Amino acid sequence: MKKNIWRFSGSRMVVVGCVALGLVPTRATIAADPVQVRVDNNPVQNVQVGNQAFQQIRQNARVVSDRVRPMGPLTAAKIRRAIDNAIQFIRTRQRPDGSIGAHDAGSTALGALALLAAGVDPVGDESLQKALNWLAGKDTDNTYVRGIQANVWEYALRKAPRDERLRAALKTDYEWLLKSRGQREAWRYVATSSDWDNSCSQYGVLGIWAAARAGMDSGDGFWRDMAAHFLKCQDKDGGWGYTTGGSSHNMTTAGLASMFLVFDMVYGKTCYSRENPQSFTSGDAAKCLQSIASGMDWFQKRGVNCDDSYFLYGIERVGVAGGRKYIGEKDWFKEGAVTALGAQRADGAILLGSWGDDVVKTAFSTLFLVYGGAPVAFNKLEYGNNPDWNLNPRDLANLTKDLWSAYEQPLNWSSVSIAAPAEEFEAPILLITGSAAVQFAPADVAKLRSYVRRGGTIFAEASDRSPAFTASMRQLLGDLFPTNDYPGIAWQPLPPDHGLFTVLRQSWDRTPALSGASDGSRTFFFLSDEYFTGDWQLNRTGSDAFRLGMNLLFYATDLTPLPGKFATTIPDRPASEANQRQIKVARVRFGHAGVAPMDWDAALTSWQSFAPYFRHVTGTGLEEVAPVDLESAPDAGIGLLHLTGRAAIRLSAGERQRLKEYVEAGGTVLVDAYAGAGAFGRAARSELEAIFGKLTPLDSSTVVASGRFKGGQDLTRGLRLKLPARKEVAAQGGQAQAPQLEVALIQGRPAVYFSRFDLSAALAGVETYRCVGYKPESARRIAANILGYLAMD
Amino acid sequence: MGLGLLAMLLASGLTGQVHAAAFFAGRLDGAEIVAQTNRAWACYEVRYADVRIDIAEGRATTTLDLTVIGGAEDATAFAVIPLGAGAEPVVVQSDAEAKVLGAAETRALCRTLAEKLRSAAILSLAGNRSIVIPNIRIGASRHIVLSWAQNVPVDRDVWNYACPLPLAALSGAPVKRLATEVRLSGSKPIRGLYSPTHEMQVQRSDPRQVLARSVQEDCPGTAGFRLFYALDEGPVGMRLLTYRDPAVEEDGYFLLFGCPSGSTERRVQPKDIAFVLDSSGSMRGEKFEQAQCAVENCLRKLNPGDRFNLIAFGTEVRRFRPDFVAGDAATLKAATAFMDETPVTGRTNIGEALRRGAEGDPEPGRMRMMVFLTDGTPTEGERLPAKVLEDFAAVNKARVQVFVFGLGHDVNAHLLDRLAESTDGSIEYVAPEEDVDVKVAALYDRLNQPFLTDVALDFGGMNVTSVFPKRVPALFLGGDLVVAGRYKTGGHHTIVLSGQLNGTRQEYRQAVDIPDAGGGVSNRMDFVATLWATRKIGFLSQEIRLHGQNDELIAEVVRLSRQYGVVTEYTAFLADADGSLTPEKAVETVRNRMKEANEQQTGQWAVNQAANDQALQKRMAVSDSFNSFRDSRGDVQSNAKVRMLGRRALYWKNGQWEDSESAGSRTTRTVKAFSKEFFDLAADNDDFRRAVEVGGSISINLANERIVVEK
Repeated sequence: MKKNIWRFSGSRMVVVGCVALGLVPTRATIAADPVQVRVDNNPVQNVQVGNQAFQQIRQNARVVSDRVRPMGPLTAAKIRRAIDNAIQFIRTRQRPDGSIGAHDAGSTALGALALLAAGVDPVGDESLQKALNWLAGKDTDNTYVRGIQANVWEYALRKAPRDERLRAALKTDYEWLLKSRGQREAWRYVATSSDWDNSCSQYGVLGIWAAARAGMDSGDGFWRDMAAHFLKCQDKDGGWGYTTGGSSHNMTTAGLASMFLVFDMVYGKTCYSRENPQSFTSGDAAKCLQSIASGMDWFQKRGVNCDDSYFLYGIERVGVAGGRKYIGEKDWFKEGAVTALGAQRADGAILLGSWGDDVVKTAFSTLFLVYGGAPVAFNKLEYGNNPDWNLNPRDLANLTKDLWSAYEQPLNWSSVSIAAPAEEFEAPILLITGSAAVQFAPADVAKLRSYVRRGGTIFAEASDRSPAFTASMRQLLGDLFPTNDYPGIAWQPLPPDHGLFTVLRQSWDRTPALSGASDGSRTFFFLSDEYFTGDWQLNRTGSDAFRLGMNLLFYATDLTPLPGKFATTIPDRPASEANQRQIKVARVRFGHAGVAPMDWDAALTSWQSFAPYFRHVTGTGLEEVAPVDLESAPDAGIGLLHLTGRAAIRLSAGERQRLKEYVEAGGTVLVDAYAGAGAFGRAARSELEAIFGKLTPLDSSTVVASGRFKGGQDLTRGLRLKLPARKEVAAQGGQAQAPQLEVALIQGRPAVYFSRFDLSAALAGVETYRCVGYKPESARRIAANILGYLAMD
Repeated sequence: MGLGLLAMLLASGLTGQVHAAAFFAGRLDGAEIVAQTNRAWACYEVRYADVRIDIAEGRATTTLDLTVIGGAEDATAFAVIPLGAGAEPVVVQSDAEAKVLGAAETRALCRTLAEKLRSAAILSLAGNRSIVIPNIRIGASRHIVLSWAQNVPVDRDVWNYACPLPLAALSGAPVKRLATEVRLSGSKPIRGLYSPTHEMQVQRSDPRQVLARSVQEDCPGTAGFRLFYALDEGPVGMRLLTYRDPAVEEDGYFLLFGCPSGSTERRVQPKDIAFVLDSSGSMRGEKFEQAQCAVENCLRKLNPGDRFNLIAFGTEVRRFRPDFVAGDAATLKAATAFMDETPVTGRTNIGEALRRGAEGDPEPGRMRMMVFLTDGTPTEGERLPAKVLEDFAAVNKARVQVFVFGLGHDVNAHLLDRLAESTDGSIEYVAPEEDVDVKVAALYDRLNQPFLTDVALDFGGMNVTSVFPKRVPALFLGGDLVVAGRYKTGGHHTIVLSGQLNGTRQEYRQAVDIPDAGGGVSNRMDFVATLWATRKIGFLSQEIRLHGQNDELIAEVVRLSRQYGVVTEYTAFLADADGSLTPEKAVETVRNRMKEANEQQTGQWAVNQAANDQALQKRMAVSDSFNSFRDSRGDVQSNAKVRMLGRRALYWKNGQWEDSESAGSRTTRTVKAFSKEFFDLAADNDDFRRAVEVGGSISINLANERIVVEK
């Protein structure tokens, strides 16, 4: 039977031979008793009526909804668009007086918070200002509203820190929240209530926390009271209920999110030290951590329920604060984002659940998407069977939060287990800490090596300068890159002019003492002799530790903005029709015996990373075959030979001859300087011109440059170089946006391509500080045209 | 073996005809086309078209390189090429010979094709000669190269080149990539290169050599390529294109264009230029590095006699030197060090930075300029945008022209637009995915050689009205002068351009001759009307956005958008509206849309609105391909239900294309499509023929009649 799925008022429905009366989409018509339903004028069979049928439909919807209403893979671009659409929707719900939605102060505050979170400027945006003015003029007796409002003021203050009006409004809400709780254990809806509930209370805590961020200190006593409250009312099963007993998904997120705030506020003033190694493993701090662990276990057993926007905002705060990608064995953000995007209406509204009006629901979902979907800047490596990997549990949480302002966008961190698949190591920086020596199994070393080869940067630091840990990290480098194969990779003290210290100009109190290991293009492994993670744990935001954290992120990403979760290199356009063709690519294993024997291997992951893009834009497959060494003639089936490296290349007479014969037999060669390495580029040009004659700029009228073939792209426009390359071109009086490729024509065919600017690192997605090369999208376009041209009929 | 038939049609536009190239299946029987019995008519797809035009003085060689996608069957093919003027041989790169058809044979061929294909687009070819190429086998795809030489017509000192392009109506799909490259050389400096059909990227390596390129993707290719240019030794080389509809009693339209480059009177004003850089915390990282690189590139290009200063602003404002300094090597080195040492931190003190940048008294003979780069809103010092502008105006005694770059979406677009507007400068928005140094370099190359300031135009007895831009900006060598407006009086006139050059007032005169009706250099100049309307809409939209709503201006935006078919963010819905939308309701809807949109002063939507207004005011090409805008999210939007047709537009309503002008009291005449009456009308009436080329049913005003074409 044909299945249809409709989304109606936020309820996901599947019609599997039945439809729920009262939740019928506009396309369906319902006749009188007996119920007859027609969809697109076709009668629907097996109609059931009533709540039971509806519940059944809801169950079914969970199972088949994504299958029957595919929205394609989740991508960062789709998430960003969903946020933009939701913001547009919220704007349309603003009334002339500035209020938003139907819930007056509540929906206005949440609407304003969503606008702020999505990047709307509180100073320059007239509609946001009107909303803020409207809120400021209200005297609301409601804990939810006051708690959200406090966050609105605090967020706006970050953009306008000298706006005393905002500060006064925050102070008013802060004082109201403190006063309204009074002598009670926690909050209820209004100030005059005598009892409490955890739903209101989590927003009370959130409001006080926002005020604390703006410098309004409620004192340890308050936070210890809150710790006592949430510990006391936690159910034995690890969850929380509205008051006591009867844990629920929503209230467990309320309890957990509040416990994270409480922990930061009470125990954030402590860090691990060798003198006091039990900082977080005994006493009240340990109780808090245990409470959080129990809450997480609650979800482990019950999973997450993303059909409710209230829950989404709750689970986002838990996941982000805890640095958890998985809660209850589910990627909570993926689950929620798929649900939210699937439920989004054409007007931008995301109506999930039953709590609040359409603005409230949409705002909750927007906050979930903004914060939950923010890029993951750091992974923290979880290893071993004891907590040694996490002696300062809030180090990255504090650092990441502080970096929001430098990055001008929310950032995330998450812990990742050494047992997790290699692709789970998704952040540009991996933090490894500990107090004892770490011994990784060979498979784990391989995983870390893969992470580094894919562009990751490791930052290792002993907790409170433990020599054993530091020594084991020194050893780890040798395990990752054995000296015999990689004689150039070794620990070196970082000089003061190292990019890590200069990528952003900082006023260091003292130049940090670090060692680094470089592959010749970038330092991929840093080993700290300091105790920065301690300062991160203590949230000493003005210290060298935070400056270093900022520079580390900018260095590791080459100052490139981080894409949000689910970023992809695949263009946001339909895939080309797949064909049966397959282009074989082989990297050439040329030798620098004794100097850099593995230099030829720099582009280890380039073609593998590029292949899905190539398939998408051309419909043609790409197979990277085993590297060839030119000692004998390459397999005639290889379409492209690729050479790249960092050191000066020197080919033997035999290698030159084989390369020449390969090209004359119809093969194509691509040579680029890895990360723009000048030594390789100069030597490679000499080698190529010795073999093939003078290289000439690729003519813009050629088929390969203009992309006049299926899946081809225009290389004559919009190619983008990274700044160092643009500087080089500008200094020579050239046009930075013109293609810089050079070719050797063999019988009129562009058979040898040479780029002095990097393609390989860009194709691999390896961000290399000061890389003299193309931006990744441009590199992919170039490579796709070279290979696509080979695939032409 | 099945006998397929492929035809390619091309029409030269030397007399202003619409130009077309198309491929389709069919069988040639003499000069008649006969449908095959075993397969339906099918249009073939021109997937790629590369047009290379080499013009030396008034002689052009055109090479049309086409990749045609065909069927799997064997095919005998032919091509039809109306040559228009000239009798030069056509070079066809193929394995077949060409055969020329006369005008009568071509007309018969076109009529047959129109009937067979049920498309009137082909009618534009009638009246030309054509060439037949038998025995072209297309197979899966075929590469065909045509090349011909021709004299470029010249009228009133304006050269008018035209070239046929693939026509969407007769193609299986839009052309995936259409690249047009013009290499133009002349014995005199080349002036005011202008294409009404394509947005061209122009490079002037030498006053007498120009390279102009245009690349379009997924191009519907409904218009041929047209290019106007002038060769002139004079300092500016102004030329006038005009249009007046003889059937309507209203003011004519004009477009004045020129280019002060390469004249024998090569004088450049020295300039004092301040580079004012945002160094607040949000600029941290590559953004500031790019800005620094941009400034260094500009400093390298300073002319002898130029002076500069640098100002970096965060919470505090730092100045490189107390006053302007010459760009000698040591100073440039110090300037680089100044930027290297600039702390990138703090908030955004725009007001103080502007004030410091404008300090100083004017010096006669020296142009004062400021390049201002920011990525934020005022968050330090004066924060109210209106007050920032007011304070700046009070200190700007030197009449500094401010060239603003807004980086990213977090700028206050209202503030920056008004800053540029009030100083006769310009504004460019640099999207997050764009490179600041590249954008600044492109602008600076245009600004580097100031020619005239305090520019004024006198149109003599033309009785001009509604001229845009309202104030003619300063002219730079290599930059374009483009002015559009309305005129009442045709005939012989003298246009006088005046301005300050090196401290003295200069005048440049240009005699113009305006025909009473029709067009200037050909009878197909109604694009001048569309261009004027487009620029006026851009101006009005900006006025409303920056200076508040005004019902009269809004009504005018609605009227112009509707009449000329110009699609904007606020008026795009007009093309979708049914007959129940009254003019009053339309104005009210636009008012509400503008109000909602204009409330955004920062953010992506605000920046996109500003960019849309700029684009309309700078738009050169006015074909349907360019009739689009960026929506609040930055996506390019157009509306397939509207077609621009000179001073009128066609709207798709109720299953037919309707004239934007109401029928009024006109009598209705119904014409059957592809009937004798239909073909006779098309042969006699140019407006009718152009309208029916759009395809489908048409309802259009022609003189005193409302002609309704029924399928």
